[in-house]
Amino acid sequence: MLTYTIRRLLIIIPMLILASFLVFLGLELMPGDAVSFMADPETLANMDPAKLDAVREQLGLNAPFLVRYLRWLSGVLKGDFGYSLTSGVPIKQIVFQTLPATIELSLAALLFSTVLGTILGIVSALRRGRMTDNVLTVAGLLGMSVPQFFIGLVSLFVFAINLGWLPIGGRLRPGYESFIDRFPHLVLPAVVLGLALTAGVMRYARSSMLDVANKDFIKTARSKGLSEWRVNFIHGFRVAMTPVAILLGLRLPTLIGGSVVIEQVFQWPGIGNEFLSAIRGQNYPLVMMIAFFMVLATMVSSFLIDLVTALLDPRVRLS
Amino acid sequence: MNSMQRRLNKKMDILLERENSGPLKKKNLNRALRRALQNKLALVGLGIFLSIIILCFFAPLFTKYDPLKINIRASLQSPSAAHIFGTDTIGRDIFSRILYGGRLSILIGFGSAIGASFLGVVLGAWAGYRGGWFDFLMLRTSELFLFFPQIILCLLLVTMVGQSVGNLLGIFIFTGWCGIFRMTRARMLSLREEEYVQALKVLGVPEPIICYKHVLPNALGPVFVNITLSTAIFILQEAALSFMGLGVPLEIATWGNILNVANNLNILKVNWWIWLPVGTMISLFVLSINFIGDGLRDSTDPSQQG
Amino acid sequence: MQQEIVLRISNLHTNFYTNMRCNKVLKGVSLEVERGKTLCIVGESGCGKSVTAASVMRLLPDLARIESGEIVLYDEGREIHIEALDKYGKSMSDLRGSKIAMIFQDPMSALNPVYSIGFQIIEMIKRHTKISASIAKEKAVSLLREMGISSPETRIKDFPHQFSGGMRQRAMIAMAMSCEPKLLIADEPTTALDVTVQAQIFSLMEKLKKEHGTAVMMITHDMGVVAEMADDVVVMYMGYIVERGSVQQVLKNSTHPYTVGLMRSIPMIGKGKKQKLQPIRGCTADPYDTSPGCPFVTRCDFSIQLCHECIPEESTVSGNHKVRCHNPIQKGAVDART
Repeated sequence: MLTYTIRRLLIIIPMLILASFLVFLGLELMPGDAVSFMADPETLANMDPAKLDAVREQLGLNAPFLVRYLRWLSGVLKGDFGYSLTSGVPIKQIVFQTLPATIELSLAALLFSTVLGTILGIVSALRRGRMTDNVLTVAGLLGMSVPQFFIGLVSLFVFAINLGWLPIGGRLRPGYESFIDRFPHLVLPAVVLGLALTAGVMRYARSSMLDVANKDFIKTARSKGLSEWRVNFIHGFRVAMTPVAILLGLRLPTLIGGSVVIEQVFQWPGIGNEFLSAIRGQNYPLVMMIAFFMVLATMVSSFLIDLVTALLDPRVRLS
Repeated sequence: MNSMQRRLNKKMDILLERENSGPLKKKNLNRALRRALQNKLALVGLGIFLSIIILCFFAPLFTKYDPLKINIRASLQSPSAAHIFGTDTIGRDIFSRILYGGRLSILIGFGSAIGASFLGVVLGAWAGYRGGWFDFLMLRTSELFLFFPQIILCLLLVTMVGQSVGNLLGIFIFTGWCGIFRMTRARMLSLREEEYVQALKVLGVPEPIICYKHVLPNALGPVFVNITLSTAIFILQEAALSFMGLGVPLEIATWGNILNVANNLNILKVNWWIWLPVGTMISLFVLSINFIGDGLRDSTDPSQQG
Repeated sequence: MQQEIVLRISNLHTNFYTNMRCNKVLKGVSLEVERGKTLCIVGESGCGKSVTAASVMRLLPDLARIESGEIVLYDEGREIHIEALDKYGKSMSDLRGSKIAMIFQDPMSALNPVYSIGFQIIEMIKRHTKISASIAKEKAVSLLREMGISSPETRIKDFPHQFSGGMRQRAMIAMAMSCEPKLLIADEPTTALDVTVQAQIFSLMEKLKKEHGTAVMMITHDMGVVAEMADDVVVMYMGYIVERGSVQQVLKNSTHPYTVGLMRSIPMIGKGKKQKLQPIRGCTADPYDTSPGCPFVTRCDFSIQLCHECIPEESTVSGNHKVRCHNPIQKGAVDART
């Protein structure tokens, strides 16, 4: 298990370096540089070019590309992510303020879709070809087809505006900040964000369970006299879960990307909303750093899912 | 004995009786066609799909309004005989906007799917067939793309190159080729070991001709199914980007752009006719594509038979 | 020696109902398995030999069922009518594993890849006995040792993919024997293995049969295996038993044209390249074919008019040697080359 963990880590590190390099490249390609961001355009236009260059030299902006990259990277590793262009607030502060909300939302959605998707997939497989199965199959396709933000709009319209069961948006109200207080705010965004993944997990769990049901070792388990419950769940379910876990790993980027849209619909104060306003305000350093954090989040979580897969299936960790 | 077994027993009794009652009539219908007809979902999907295509591409036959014509005096009208889905904030007819907007959304979806598939197939075939450093490089690149949340990548690129229909198409193709690439590559890896490839090499046929003319056609089956499914994904993506106001420029009508106004809570509350019909239209269209794609996959994949 | 019947199948009919058709797979199978003896069921693919085994275990797929006939297990003076039990019921699953155990063709796919060998054996012991986990583990270790697996204390923690093919089959046998079943059903147990490993598995089964008095029902398509292992033989064709009797009677004195054909189509080691193999001409008939005659008639060299008109009844050749043929081949009439 340890060697497997280390091996997975070794695959991730070069990917992270590459991603950080691309982010830096993006920053470099964006119009303007640190100097032009520091002063307002009018002073900039009236400045002596030689003086400007001296400032650039002083800031290390004329150093070779690779040197600048390494300098930037070591800054990032020390927690210096640069400053927001519009407010001048350190990006680090913005990220730490908004990231927890996004993690809370994504985890809730992941949990919801994994549990519900798996259960529905198994029900569908065990009742194959019957009404329940057909209804679930169509529901699954529907979950994949309806745009997430549209489901968000409809659910806001129905549950928040017309029925008034749940709050319209946001994450917390001043003075009410415990998890219990926050929970009603979380329900709609998490469910809507998780819906597409639920459909995917369900379809996968169904076909995986059906696939496993035809395997010889299931026949062996029955021939040992084990109860149907034990045959289906101890022997069938555990093997069927490996492909589902792999699917979860592959779908994580979509989930994290989807949170941007959902945060916008529900006015969830997460990093995705920050990302959108940074894009609209052409706040490039912030845009790039948030993108980097999203990739980082994807990589870390798919690393964790890889570990879960390895725990589920010894063939993965020992190969 | 549980209900499941009783039901099965009943079914088996019927079949037994039919078998014993004498020889069965021969069915002349082609097996594949019969299977396709049995797949009711795919048929329903095809029906919806064709209706929406006809509605959108022959839009002038179904509506007399210009989708871009602003009429401030007729703004925010609820559905009526004159405007069956009402009008938007600046008095444009929603029904006509849905139909004309559908043209562009569908074209973006199909265009990106075909472009991305083409790119993926061309690269994947060569990478899988030749292997070596090219394969290694492309494989790592595609992994990086898969780690990047696609919508984030699109947003980043949109900020870099700006908003326009052409840019969006390019961005979708640039970010969407990985799935097909990996699929084609995997198929090519096994196909290149076939004997006939060796034979062609011995005959001195140039490598690109072997790769693209002789081997690739055998790998294309699943790719065609995937084109339908990725069309669905691209349509959803265009809608999401435009909904956030970062897809196609807002003055052009697309399905996503019509929905953009629903960001306003007041419109969401009061003027449901602006966002509900178009959202339903997108959902129906994507659903029909998924029905068709699912049916196609079932009929091409022997392991899915039941 | 007093013969003791463990399993008796009489006039078993099993149908499959797939593809919206009714396929009559077993059309009146009768056989007996005796304590401490091996019964081999031979026949080509699709003749119903595996379905016979699945009927006994009540492990038929959902869209298949036993239509009529009896499957009786004799257990310490009790007669258990297997065909009357609920296939998902507790009384049936109590039998599986403890009284009747089964081993399969491909030991790789027959063992669950995500659990250790030990877990899978102990699971079965604990299902049928009331012993503690540690004793069950000791028992599993000693079983593996008995099957000839070296250092079983450590190998018990290994997963199936860490075992070689032969060792997996040994582990399968260890598992099957763990509750000392009266009857062991082996469905082509060596088809997926090397020839040398095959021989080891056979001698292991032979030993177990002698030491524990287990009755073995072995399914195979390999006449070599029959000659080596069988005490009694049943030859099946298209859901019928066409010939049955002791191994001597059936192999040395074949009377059904199909058995004779099978015997002629095996190459003999030592006869060199010049030996003439005679494959049985034609191919298996359509299982849905409902013509009234003997199912083998189109491929038979000895058919008479009667063969096209009705299916022959089973007739006795001598003693327990029975054949289902209108025109059985008389002893010495053909050179059976054995």
